Amino acid sequence: MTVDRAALQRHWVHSHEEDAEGEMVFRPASYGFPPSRGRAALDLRADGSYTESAPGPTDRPESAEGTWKLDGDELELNAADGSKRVLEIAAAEGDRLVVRR
Amino acid sequence: MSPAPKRRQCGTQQAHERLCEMYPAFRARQNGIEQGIRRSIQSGQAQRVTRQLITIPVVVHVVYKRDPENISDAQVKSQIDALNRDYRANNSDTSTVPDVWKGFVTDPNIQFALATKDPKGKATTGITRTKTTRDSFGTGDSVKRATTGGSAAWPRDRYLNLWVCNLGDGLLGYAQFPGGPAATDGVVILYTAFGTMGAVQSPFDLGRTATHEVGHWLNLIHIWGDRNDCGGTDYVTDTPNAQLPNYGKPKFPHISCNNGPNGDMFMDYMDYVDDAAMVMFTAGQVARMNATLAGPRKKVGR
Repeated sequence: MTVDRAALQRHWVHSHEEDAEGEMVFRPASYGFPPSRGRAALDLRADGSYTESAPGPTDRPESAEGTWKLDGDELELNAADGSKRVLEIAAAEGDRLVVRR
Repeated sequence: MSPAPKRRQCGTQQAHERLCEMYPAFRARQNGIEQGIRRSIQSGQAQRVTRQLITIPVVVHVVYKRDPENISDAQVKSQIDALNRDYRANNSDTSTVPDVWKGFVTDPNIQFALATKDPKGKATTGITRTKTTRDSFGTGDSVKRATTGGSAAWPRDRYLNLWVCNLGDGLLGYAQFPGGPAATDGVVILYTAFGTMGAVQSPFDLGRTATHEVGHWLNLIHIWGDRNDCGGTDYVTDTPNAQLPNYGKPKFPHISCNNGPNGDMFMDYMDYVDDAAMVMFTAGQVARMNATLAGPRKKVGR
């Protein structure tokens, strides 16, 4: 599957209420989420930079920066600290991003 | 998708990093606390100190702009009651614990009571009420300072500070581990997730956000160890290694990190599930809390 790069360029927030087995669902930050103990988020910008955040050890969000690129359905995140990981995109359509876990 | 960024230069989280930048001694103090907790558990000191029931005086700072945020005394008391059930393992929903872990449910032997004396020794209800002009508060601790529209902490050696406000960004609550600055020591909770009545909203209507956050205040770590790769730890051996937070009301078992057949202990208070799905602390977690009360929080409640 080839994912459209332009479709990925948004600020995505984990809509954990919609997760299915083996899949994490993300929605645009403007989606109107209910309260949560903490949500992961991934802001993929057109210039190839990103900011991600996740719940920290005392539930405050913590964040990290880096650069991203897309290869087929694989989203590669190269963090500023040198670490790298690859997310497999199951779907990226309008206001819904699905990542395999 | 893994939610945990890997940048860990000055602590294990953004708030830690910020505290490290602001208070260079914080990291050293934090490492010292972890070593002290290990020594205290191994030597039996933690258990000795907490053999007696400890009652922690609580001050609840209600900070509000709109009327619904100014929660009632009854709602505040319903939260204290919930804490007293959960921290005595008197909550009836431990019946939902899978059979394999029923024997793991442990009574922390800790109680909470609204303070009856304020820091100056005057009689108090243990509830402060502060009208603010702020629509909401972030996680930068502005709710803990009068100069930024909040209410100042009472001395942490004598009180557990709980702030209740319109916490922004859809966050239910956040805490501070032992060893941080005194002025921000305590727990912040969204007013619709505080207590079991009044303004509370399902599925966070059983007071478990406070149970979880006070767990952090007593130095408990999330059961997935705050990493996304099974490489994290909560420094407790009787909670299985787990990869990520669980949400909602999971079905048993949920396997991760080769932790089958029983999987994640998602019914533990230190996971991210709905209030109705989190029902227990383990003996290992209680030992950590005891060590915290014997160490960095040895003055409170005594």
